[in-house]
Amino acid sequence: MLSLTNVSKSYNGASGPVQAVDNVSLELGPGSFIGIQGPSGCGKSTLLLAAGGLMRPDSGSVRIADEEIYALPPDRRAEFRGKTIGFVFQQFHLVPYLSVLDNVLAAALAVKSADSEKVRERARQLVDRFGLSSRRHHVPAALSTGERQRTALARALLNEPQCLLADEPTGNLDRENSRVVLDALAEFAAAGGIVLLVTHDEQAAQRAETVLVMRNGRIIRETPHG
Amino acid sequence: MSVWRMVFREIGHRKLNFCLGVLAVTAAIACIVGAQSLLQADKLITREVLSARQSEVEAAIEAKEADVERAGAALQEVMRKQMLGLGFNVLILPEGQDLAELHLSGGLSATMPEEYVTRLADSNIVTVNHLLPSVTRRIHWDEKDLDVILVGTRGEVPIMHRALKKPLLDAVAPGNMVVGYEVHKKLNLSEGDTVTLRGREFTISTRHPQRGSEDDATIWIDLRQAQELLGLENLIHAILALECDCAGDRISVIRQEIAGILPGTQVIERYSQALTRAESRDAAKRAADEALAREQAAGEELLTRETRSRADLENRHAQLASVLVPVVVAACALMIGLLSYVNARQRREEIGILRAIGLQARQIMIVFLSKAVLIGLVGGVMGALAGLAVLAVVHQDEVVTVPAAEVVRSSSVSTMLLLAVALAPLLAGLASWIPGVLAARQDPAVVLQGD
Repeated sequence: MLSLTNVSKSYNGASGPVQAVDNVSLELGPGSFIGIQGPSGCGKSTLLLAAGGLMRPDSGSVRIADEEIYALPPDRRAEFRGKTIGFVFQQFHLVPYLSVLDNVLAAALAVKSADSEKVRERARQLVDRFGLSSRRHHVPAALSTGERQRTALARALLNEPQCLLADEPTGNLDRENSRVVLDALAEFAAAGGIVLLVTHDEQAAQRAETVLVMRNGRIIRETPHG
Repeated sequence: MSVWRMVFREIGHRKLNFCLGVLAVTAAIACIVGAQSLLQADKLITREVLSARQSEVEAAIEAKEADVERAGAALQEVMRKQMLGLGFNVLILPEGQDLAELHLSGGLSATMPEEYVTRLADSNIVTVNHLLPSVTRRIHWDEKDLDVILVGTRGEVPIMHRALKKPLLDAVAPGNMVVGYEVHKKLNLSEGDTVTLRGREFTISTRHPQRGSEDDATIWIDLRQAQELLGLENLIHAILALECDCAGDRISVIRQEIAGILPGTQVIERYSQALTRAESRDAAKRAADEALAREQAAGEELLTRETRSRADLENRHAQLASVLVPVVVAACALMIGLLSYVNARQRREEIGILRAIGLQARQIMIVFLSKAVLIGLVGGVMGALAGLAVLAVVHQDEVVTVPAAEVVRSSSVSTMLLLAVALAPLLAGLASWIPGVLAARQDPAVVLQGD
């Protein structure tokens, strides 16, 4: 369960404070695939970062699996995030000096009790699943954008998280790679995971079961695609 | 996948960055160690040079003092001998000898037994120091057609109850002849020439310089040979007693003492300048002593000057080192710190990524600090070696060299070496730790969104 209650976040802009997220509440159960749309600057990415424990909101609470994540000390929160949440960003955010396989395996560093052999096997499976077998020893600079995003997706799934948070994951991808990524998200949700997808892409939004439209930091409309 | 694998992957991926980091730390540590080593080596070399110089000066002073002492002794000896003629000497003659004959012809005719000199030497006489028996006669040297005074002498007879004194006059060896100035000048004689006197051959052993006395017309041969030539076996004409302890009116005491031992003799004072002689000898000794004292004082002053200039030089070195070393250390520490800071700051995005995927601050710090510490360690060791290599290169052409081991053993350099090797990783780690810990503390989103 991912639960946001009255979450607000503001930034200091050039012409004064900007309310990026304004008193938003959400509740996502297992198997949820929620898309968030809205114009640039409406606060959808900020909402996703706050939901993923990457940015502390000014007020409100974020609970995942009954854990108030911002009440956790930073290192515990990081460990919790590593185990529970997977992230996919538009800019991929891969470690530039690690190979595809090592980038995927880096996520396992957050889980102290992980069985290294099992983790390695799962990483290989994910690399194979996303069509990166022949590229597993390449560093990100040697990959196409689609391969980079698939690497990021494999990394996000390594620790078998409960939630997958994706911020414009198809923003830099061609149609085929977008399809692979969206299929993976849908598959994750179908397996009982929670997916929160921030996107401008209408086609991507169509894959979500519900689309929330944001404007000025607020959710103004909820469109089920069912 | 481990944190260490990440560290080495990153180093492998950014080799140039790692090498530049190592190079920068190497340069910084080489500067510290090199500066300290050079200063220390310079100090040791200066000490060596000054010690060598001091030893040279001391040796030179000692040599000069020895020279002066020798020269003084030689001067005294020369003076002693030159003053011989001025000595307070007495001549012991047979009672019947007409003194006018001596003054008019330089020769003597009355004789006394040669045994007299032995008797005198064996006696307990205290007023006479040197005894010189002789025969003296004015003769015509037929072979050379020249009138000369022939003196037969056997050298000095030691006085038995006294400690042996250095002889004032040397004996003439049998077969040798010593000739006065006028004789060798007229006969054109050289040392080594052979001459015949009354059928006997003699070799000229010594030629006297001009003395301005009857000595210039005198020839000296061995007493025994002279006695044979003159038909005076076991007889002598006179005993010359030299260096008498008889200044002033003590001549009467001598006469009395000799008369007691050698009855039938007369004693005359030969010369009367004993006091002058003594004063001259004292003056020569004084001059030598003063010259020696002056040399010693000059040497001590020179040594004092050397020691003072050495102390000044060492003080200047110490002052220079006290300013230079902290400045170099501070500059190098700042350089290492800034390099590490810039490196860590450039990698803030990585910190954000690793933080986002769940790595703890401690793990992230290991990733960053390990590299920094590794750069510091490798650079520190290489810099220390390079600093010492500078020492070898700079001093290879020096005349005075000090072994590198001696420089390294010196406390300041060994401390600096240890400090440099320990300080470089510490500084690099500290400089990386600050931006690393700041980034790790922030929300990952803030770091990922960048500056």
